[in-house]
Amino acid sequence: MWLPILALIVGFCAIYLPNKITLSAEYSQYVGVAVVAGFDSIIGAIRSVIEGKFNDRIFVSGFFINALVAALLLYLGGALKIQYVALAITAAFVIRIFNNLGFIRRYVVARLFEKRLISGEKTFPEP
Amino acid sequence: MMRMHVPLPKAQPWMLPVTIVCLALGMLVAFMLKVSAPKKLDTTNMTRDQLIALYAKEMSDHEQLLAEYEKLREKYDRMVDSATTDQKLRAELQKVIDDLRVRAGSTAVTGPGIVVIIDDTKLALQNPPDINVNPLLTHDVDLLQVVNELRAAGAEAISINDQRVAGSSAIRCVGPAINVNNKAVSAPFVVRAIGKPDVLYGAINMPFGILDQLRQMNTQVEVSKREKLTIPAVAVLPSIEVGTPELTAPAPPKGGE
Repeated sequence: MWLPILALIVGFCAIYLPNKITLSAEYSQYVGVAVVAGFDSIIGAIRSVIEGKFNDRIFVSGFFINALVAALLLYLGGALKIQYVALAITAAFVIRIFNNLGFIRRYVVARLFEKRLISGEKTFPEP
Repeated sequence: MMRMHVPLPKAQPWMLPVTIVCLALGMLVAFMLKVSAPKKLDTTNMTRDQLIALYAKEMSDHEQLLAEYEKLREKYDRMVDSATTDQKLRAELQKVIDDLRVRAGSTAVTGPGIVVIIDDTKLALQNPPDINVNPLLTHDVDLLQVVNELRAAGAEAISINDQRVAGSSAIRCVGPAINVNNKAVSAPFVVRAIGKPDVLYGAINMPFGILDQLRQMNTQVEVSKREKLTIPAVAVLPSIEVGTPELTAPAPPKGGE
């Protein structure tokens, strides 16, 4: 459980601490949508783990391809002079994030306080 | 694996991919924070309206800064005022400061004086092709000599075409014009000097003096006394960067050394 969080910190430090690495402002929005896509993948993964449907290949490919396609769409939107493409992409991912987060929250609340499975969670494997 | 308070399924296979993705995500987040300063303003692609807006914004910023400067200077003056409580000492100090400011050119000055108007020879204005007009023009050296003569006669403030000539002012030839305080001025040159009008008038018209010489070159010269003149301050006084004022009295020399 702590390994992913440790990896998050290590990855952050690896880029943040060296002074030489900088990102020019024009690429910042691409990284932005990639970050949102990444968070969506992580939250989705937590949900799928809870559901017992986790598949590592789907997860890894989802992360990279979602981030890539999001950046590509953003580029395309910029090339076609469509406004607010970044906003639309972000909104799509955020909706997914909240969906999955709601599921996770319900699961955690059920585990913590109610000690019983709410309907629709019968497929959980016993810990 | 540590046992969590929230029991999760012991799904080990998710550990490695999630770790890898978290590593990538951490790097991405760090990248977001490492965005370098925005590009330098590129004015080459801007439209006229954008440039006008930019100019207006910069000008209003400039106005604001000027207002701020004014406020701070008032505050500074007030602080100097309150710091000097002894009225008599204060008056003396104020007199010294005012005199020095007149000398330094950091304040406009009003008083009686003379006005000298020097214009190029009429012949030079026609620019005849077969005559070298150079000796017929008014040069920086002529103005320097006029200023020098006025100073020798006790002029307290001098200006050339509304450029105050202070201790820091330079009068230099720059092609067709003359630079005073790094501002170009050109003929006719209106030299104003505040001082005792009669003394200044007599000094500047001294036989074989500078105006006499100019007149001999057919330069158009006009001198008049004035009851009241106003001479502006130096627009931008250069700052003192390398010199240090020696405010304490020098130590008396030791004998026998």
